[in-house]
Amino acid sequence: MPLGFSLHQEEFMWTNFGDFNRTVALLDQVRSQMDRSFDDFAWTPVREGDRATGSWPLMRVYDRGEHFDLVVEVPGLTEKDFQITIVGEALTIQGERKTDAPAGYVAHRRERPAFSFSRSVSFPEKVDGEKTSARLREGVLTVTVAKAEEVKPRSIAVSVG
Amino acid sequence: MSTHIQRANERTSLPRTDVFESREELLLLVDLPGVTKNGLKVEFDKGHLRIEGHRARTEGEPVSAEFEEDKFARSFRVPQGIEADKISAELAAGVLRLRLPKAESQKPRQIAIQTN
Repeated sequence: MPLGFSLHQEEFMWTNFGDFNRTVALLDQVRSQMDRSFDDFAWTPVREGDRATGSWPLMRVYDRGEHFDLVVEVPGLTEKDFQITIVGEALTIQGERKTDAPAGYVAHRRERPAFSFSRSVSFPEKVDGEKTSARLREGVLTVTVAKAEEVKPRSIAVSVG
Repeated sequence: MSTHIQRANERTSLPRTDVFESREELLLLVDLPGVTKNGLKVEFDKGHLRIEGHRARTEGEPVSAEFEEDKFARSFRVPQGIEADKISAELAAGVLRLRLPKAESQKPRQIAIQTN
């Protein structure tokens, strides 16, 4: 019977990988410097402190008159990965982002960390928590929160005479 | 209109990427929230893999914005030994999965030892 041995993943040398990673790093450096010259806010990596203070996920807020729209970036999350609650004027999104290395793979670069998050936002006007809806599409969560009746804008009829 | 000014100054963001390797392939996972197939282009040319595109814009002006609905682009130099014609891309839940299969010659293999 012939003897055999296999080269394991850990020992297998992907000879050019160092070059690959260095090139990525260099391109990123140039790009991030370019980005920074336009906007300091550009793609700053999420740090531990950011999550602790609840600044993930990132949001855009729209005032639509009768309601607010919250547009939230949650790439890779499914509806089972988070929970939305409203108490008074405070809305909280909490959950877990899982980005584990798939089985049988080694990680060369991790920019998408896995973590638990909890983030609360307060609306500047009274809202009606009962009339809240949310939809998830392409990694973007849109939460629509109705304003309370007493703060909704209304048009006033002008009578002549 | 302010939208014109915004578009003129539009910056290009750098999507976050994980790079994994198995015996069979390289796997890139790229965060692209809000991006649909129509807004995404993946190109492989002369050993460079380039991802670029733009995301869908939400109607109206936000009262607060922590991210921009802007263009994105990122290039990777791919090591030799990748089967360029077998690179595949799949977009789901705002995450792009790029699979770069290794050529047969790059895969680890078992070597039989002959005995007399």
